[in-house]
Amino acid sequence: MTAALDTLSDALAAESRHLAALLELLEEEGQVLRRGEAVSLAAITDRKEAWIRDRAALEDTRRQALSLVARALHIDLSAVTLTDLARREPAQAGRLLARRDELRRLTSRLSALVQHNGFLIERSLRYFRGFVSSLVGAVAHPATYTASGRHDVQAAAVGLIDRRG
Amino acid sequence: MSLFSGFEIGRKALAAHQAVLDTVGHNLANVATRGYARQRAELVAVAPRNGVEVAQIRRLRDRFLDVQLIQEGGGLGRAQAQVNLLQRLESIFTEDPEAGLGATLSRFFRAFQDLSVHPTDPALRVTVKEAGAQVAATFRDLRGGLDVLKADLVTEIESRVSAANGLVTEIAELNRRIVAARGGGLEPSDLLDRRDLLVAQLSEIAGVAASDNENGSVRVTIAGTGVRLLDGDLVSTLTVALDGSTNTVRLQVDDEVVAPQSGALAALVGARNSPTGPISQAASDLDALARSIIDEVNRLHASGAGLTGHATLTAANAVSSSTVALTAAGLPSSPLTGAFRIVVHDSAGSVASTVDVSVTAGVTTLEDVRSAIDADPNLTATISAGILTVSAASGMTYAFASDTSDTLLALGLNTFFTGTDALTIGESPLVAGDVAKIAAARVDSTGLVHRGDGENALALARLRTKPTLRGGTATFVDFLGTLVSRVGSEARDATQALDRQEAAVELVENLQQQTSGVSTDEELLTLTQAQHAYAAAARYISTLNDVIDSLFQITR
Repeated sequence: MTAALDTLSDALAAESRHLAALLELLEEEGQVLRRGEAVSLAAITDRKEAWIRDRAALEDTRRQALSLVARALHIDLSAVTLTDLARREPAQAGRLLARRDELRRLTSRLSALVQHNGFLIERSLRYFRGFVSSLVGAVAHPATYTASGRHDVQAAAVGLIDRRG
Repeated sequence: MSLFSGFEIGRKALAAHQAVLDTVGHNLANVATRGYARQRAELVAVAPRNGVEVAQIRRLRDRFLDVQLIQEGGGLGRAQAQVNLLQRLESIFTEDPEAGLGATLSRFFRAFQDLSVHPTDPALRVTVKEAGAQVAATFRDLRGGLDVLKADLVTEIESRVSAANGLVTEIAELNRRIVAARGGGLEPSDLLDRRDLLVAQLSEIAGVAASDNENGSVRVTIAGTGVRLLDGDLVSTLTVALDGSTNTVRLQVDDEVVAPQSGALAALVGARNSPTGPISQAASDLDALARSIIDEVNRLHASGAGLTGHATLTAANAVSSSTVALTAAGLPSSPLTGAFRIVVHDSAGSVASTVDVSVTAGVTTLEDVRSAIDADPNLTATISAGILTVSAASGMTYAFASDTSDTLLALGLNTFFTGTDALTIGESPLVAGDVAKIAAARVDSTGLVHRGDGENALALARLRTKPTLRGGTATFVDFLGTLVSRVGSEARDATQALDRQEAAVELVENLQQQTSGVSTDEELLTLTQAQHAYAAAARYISTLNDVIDSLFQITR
C-alpha cells in the first residue's frame, strides 16, 4: 500500500509543478490581454497547446497510480479522494493532505484566472468581430451580376488597397 | 484580488482595447487624407496589478523629414512658379509660320527685293508699306505681351501674398488650439497634421523654416532671413508694394523688407525685379533687335530717293537745344563726322542746286545744319521746338543722298520707321502717307533720280542677310532665332529642374509615408491576426476548465 501511495504522491507532485507552470502562463496571459498584445497572445496560446500535450502523460500516470491504490483498498476508482486516503492511512495523512491542499490552492487560483482571462478574451473577440464586420460592410463592393448571371467580384473596386503601393 | 477589482481591471483592459481599435478605424478613415500621419494607441500598465490604460494616441511622424519637406517644398514652389512663368514667356515667342516675327521680317525684306526689280509698281510699294507696318505691329505685340506678363506678375505676387497671410493666420489659430489641448493633457494629432500641412503649403509660397516651441506651437520664419512670420499665435503680415522709383516690387513683413530665397514668391519677385531675369532679358533683346532694324533700314532709306521728291519735310526727332552739338542734343542716335547731300530738282527733274552739309561729331549743332541748308537759295530750313523742317522753293523738290554722318538717321529725316525700340517702333508718316516716298532709288553721281532705279530697295532687301547684330556676327533672323531658342531652352531647363525638385519632394514624402502613411492592408492584417489570436485563445478556455474539473475529483 505504501508503495502505491508513494507512486500517487510522486504523480501528484509532478502534476502540481505542471499546474504551477500553467499558473505562470495564465498570469502572463492576463497581462498580455490587458495590454491588448495580440501577437504575444498567439505565442502564449502556442505554449498552452504544448502544456496540454504534456498534460496527457501526467494524467495517465496519475490514473495508473490511483488504480493501484483503488485495487489495494478494494474500492472503486471514482471514489478515491486524498481526504479519504488520509483518513484510511493516518501514517501517510500529513503527506497526502499537503498534496491535497497544494492542488486545491492551484486549481482554485487557476479556475479564477481561466474565468478572468476568458472574460477578457470573449469580450475582446466579440468586439473584434463587430468591428471587422462593420469595416467589411463599409468597404465591401455592392454585389453586381454580369450578363452571364454570375456574381462579378471587382477586387480593385473594394478600395482597401495600400495607397503606397 | 476582490471581485470588484478583477472586473475593474477587465473594464480598463476592454476600454484600452477599444481605443486601439478606434485608432485603427481612424487610420483607415483617413487613408486618403493628405498630410495625415497614422496614429497608434500606446498602452501602459496601471501601477501594480491594476490593469492597463491608454497612455497616449501617438502620432507617427518623423520631425526631421518634416523639416526636409518644408525645405524641399520651398524649392518646389519656386520651380513650379518658374516653369509657369517661362511657359507663358515661351507662348509669347511661339513662332506662327504666317504671323510670327520671323515670317513678318522675311516678308518685309522680300517686298523690298520685289520692289528693287519693279520700283515704279505702285502695288509693290503698297506691299512694302504694309509689310513694314506689320513688322512694327508684330514688335509692339510681342513687347506688349512681355509688359502684360510683367504686370500679371504683380497681380500674381499679390495673390500669393494674400494666400500666405491666410495660411499664417490659420497656422496661428492651430497653434493656439494645440497649446490649449496640450495644456489639457491631450495629444491633438489631427491638429498637428493639419498644421504641418499648412506650414508645407506656406513654404511652397514663401519658402519658410519652422521650429517647435516648448509649448507645442511653432515659430515660422522666412527661410534664410530669420524674419518672423508667426510665433505661437503672434502673426506678422506680409505685404507687397510697388516702388515707383525703381519700378520694382518690394515684399515686407510688417515694416521689414524681405527677399524670400525659395517658394513661388522668390521666383515671381525675382522675375519681376531682376534686369537679367527672363522677361527683362527677352524684352531687352527684342528692343535691341527692333532698334537694329530701325537704324539699319532708316540709314539706307534716309539716303535714298522716292518716285517723287520732297517739297517740304519735317524731321521726326527733336533736339533738346539747337545750339548744342547734335551728339549731345538728346537724339536717339549720335551723328558721326561726315556729310550728307541735298539735291534740288526743278519741275522737269533737272538738278537746280546741290548742297553738301558737313557734320563734325561733338561740334556741329542743329543750327549749323539749318544754316548750311538755308544757304542754298532753293531751300529753306527752319527749326521749331527743336525740330528741323526743310522746304524747297516753289515748283521745286529735293532729295537726300550719301549721308555718311548718320545725321538724317539721327534727326529722322526721310526715314522708314519711327521709334527707338520694340514698344515704340512704327512706320513713318512719310511712308504711310505716300508710298511714292519709299526710297527705292538713289541719287546718281550727276544728281539725278531715275524712275527705274531700284538700287536702294535692293540694298534694303540685302539687310536680311547682313550680319549687323552681336558685333556684326548675327543677322536679324539669327538674332531672333537665338532669342526664341533661348526662351524655349530656359523653359525646358526649368521643367527639368521642376522634375528634379518633384522627385526630391516625392522621395522625402515617401520616406515620411513609411513612417506616417496608413496602409489599409497592414491595418486590416493586424486586425485579422488579432482576431485569430483571440479566437485561438478562446478555444482553450473550456479545455482548461476540464483539466481543473478532473483535479477537483481527488482533492475533495
